[in-house]
Amino acid sequence: MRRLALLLAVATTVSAAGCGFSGLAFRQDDRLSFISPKDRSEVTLPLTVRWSVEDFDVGPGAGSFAVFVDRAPQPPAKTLAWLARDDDSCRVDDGCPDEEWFARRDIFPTTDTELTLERLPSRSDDRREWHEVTVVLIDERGRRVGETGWTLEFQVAR
Amino acid sequence: MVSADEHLAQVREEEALVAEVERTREELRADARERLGVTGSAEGMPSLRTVIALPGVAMYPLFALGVLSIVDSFQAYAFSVLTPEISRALGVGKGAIAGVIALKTLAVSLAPLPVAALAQRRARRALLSIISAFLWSAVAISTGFVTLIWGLLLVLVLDGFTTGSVEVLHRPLLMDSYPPQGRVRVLSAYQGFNAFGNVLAPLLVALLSTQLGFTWRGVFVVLGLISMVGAVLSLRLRDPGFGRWDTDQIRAAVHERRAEDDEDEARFGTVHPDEVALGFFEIVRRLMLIPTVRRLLIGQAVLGILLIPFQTFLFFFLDERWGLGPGPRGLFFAFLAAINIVALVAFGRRGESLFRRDPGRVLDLSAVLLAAAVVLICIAGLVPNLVAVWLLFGAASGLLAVLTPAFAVTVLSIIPANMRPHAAALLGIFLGGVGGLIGALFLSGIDRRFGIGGSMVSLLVPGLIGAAILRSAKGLVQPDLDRMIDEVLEDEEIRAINASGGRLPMLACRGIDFSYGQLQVLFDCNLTVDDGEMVALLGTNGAGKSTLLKVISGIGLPTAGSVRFRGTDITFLDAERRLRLGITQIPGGRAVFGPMTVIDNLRAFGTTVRRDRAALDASIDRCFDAFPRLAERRNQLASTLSGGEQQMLGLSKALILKPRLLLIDELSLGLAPVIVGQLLDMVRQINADGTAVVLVEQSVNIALGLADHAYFMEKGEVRFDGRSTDLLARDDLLRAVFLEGAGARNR
Repeated sequence: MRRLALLLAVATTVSAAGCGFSGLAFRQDDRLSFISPKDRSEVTLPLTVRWSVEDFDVGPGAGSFAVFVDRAPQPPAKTLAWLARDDDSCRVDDGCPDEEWFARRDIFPTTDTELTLERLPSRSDDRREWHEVTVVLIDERGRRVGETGWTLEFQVAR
Repeated sequence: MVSADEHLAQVREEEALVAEVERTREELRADARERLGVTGSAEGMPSLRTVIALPGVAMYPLFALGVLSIVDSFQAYAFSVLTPEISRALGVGKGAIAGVIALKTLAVSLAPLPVAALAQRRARRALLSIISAFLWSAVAISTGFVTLIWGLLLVLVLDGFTTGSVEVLHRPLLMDSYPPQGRVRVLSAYQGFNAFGNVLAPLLVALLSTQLGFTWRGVFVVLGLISMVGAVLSLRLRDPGFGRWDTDQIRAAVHERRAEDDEDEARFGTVHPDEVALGFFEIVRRLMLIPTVRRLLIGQAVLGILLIPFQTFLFFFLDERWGLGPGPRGLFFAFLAAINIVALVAFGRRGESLFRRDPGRVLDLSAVLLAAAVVLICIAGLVPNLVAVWLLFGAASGLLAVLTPAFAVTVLSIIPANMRPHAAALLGIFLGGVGGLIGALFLSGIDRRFGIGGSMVSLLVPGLIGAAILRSAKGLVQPDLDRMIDEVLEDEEIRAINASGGRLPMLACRGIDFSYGQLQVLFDCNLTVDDGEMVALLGTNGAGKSTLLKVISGIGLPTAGSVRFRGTDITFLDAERRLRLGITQIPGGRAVFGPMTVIDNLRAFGTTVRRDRAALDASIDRCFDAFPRLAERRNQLASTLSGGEQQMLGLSKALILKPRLLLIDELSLGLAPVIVGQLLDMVRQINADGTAVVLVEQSVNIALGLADHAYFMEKGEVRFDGRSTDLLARDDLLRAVFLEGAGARNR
């Protein structure tokens, strides 16, 4: 019993170390909302995703967006370059990661409130497949703002 | 000389005595069955309210454990629904999340084992239930503060360990909190609470995330706080102890009959209870020897193929075939859970009535319900109408819901109360670990080949096989229940003998059955050895003599019957622990460690009982005094010794360990008469020093020359038990040995 208690105490302490107490979002962030397509609708390619944003400045010297297709975004407060951390072929000296590097991985930094997707990653051999687009806010220093990622799901008929 | 008439009268008197004992035992057994809720008739079944109104029974344990059962599903449900949000917020991919979920599943599967071990000696299931409830509530709250993937991993694994323990704690606790007359209804009601949790969790998550605007973090914190309230509500839970309404009741019945009040009398002779209390693996092994448990574990594994991946594939089915999004899917599962509650309420009384008549009939009904459920699922996978899909899956879900209480009440009723957590753990492992894994692979394969509709139809296969297994277990339950009753009755008989100052034999084997796999080799064998006695166990080749020795020494475990040492049940005790009690076996053939030297062999014998070095050296010197040839070969490898020298070395084990009971298997086989003579002298000496000896021999002359008391075995049965001189007069038995011996010589 004592050993179990000790084990639990250690596990609790370690897991507490994996927790944080500041900058966490407990209420939903409604600053961004999708305009089209409708969530869980059926679409065809090319597909234009549109959204609107409130209380967030976008433009040169201000914020921007990062759009992720079928993949998770970088953690909060990290820049997009964080996603290239494990890619040995991507050297900062060569300007990597650049737009091309991101696009190859279905990541699209933008200051627009819409994005047209010409192609989507192939997910299965099925004729109809589900995809999701996630948009996160990026601050003027290129870091992800907050924890919220706004996601839209849709079905593509090939 | 006894005349023929006197002998006949004596035989009749003995027969009358045996009949009286049998009648008394049958009456006690019938009384015990009734006390265990198996009355053979549905008449007179008390209402649940009446049961709960009995002295010492209260609604609270059901309420408290029911509430815990509701809140324990919160974290798991919230995580399954909110995984995408968590993934996006933490910036971790689906692969990492899948890995974390796999580890959590592993924790859920493994948690029951250590928790069962913690609850086996002392009845602290209530305490463990409360602690785990507070832990999983804290874990749910802390999930809301996780910022890193490994933090998520740890909280989920902790959640797996705490919620996984529910399986082994709650139902066994309910079994001991309520009398058998109401247990099916209590377990059904508990399952109903669980189903209510499955309705409540989606509603709460939907309310918190869509109406109240909480993120996944907020949802976990609020759910954790609600769970904490549930844990606080359970604080008054107390463990009623093991077997309050089962074994204690049977013992009370015996006492009432004997009008005894001997609670404080010595019960275990000279063996302390701690010395023979079964350990974790001994309990598990024992459970696996109970036919109903074994059959139902196979049934659980087959059911796991059906039940565990069913929900996941049903998600996909609703999504792909009918295009239902998360909201309607949540509603669908809440609908199923609501149907489950109705089904459990309906089953409670009906199941109780069946259990009263014959506990096997509960399994029979379960088999029918399972078969019906998979047929409904199969049809639901094919119908083109969504309303029909809802209704068919709803009906199937209701039928499947009653399987859990039916299984639980059947298995947990036929085993001693302190072993129930282990049985519950095994059921969970076979359902989730074995069946779930096979099921996931099976359904994935079917899905790839025939699509999601084909997966639903394919569930017919494990469902019907599972139903057949349940049906086949029907006839096993009553005998296993009687076996448990007999064990308690036997225990009480021993206790009564002890209390009355009666003398108990050193070793008593009663009704031993033993099987190698499906092949039964011992049939209802009885054997008794008194202190300091020398007993010969004779018989033809393959009669089961060596197997019986294995059962006594613990190398083999019987499928039925008991082995008692000084009145204490050691039937399922490990061989190593029996050695510490003073039971040592010298196996037949080369009972030595061949690659080790003679001196190392002797040391190895000594270390098994952890003797100190000086005492061990003195014992080894005694061996060398007794067998000077071993002293000459002390540094020689045992494998290079002659057959006789190897037997000397084997017999030295008795000189070192000084057992209370020595079991010797085929000492003289293949040895020269001179060597045999030396060995037999040593056996006589060991016996004269106070060690009881059971000597298995094929040589009738040797055995009967040594022992006063002899047993004769043939084809797995004891055919003679009496004085050696009387056996010498039984030509019909001994001829078989002599003929076999002659046959062997001629060959």
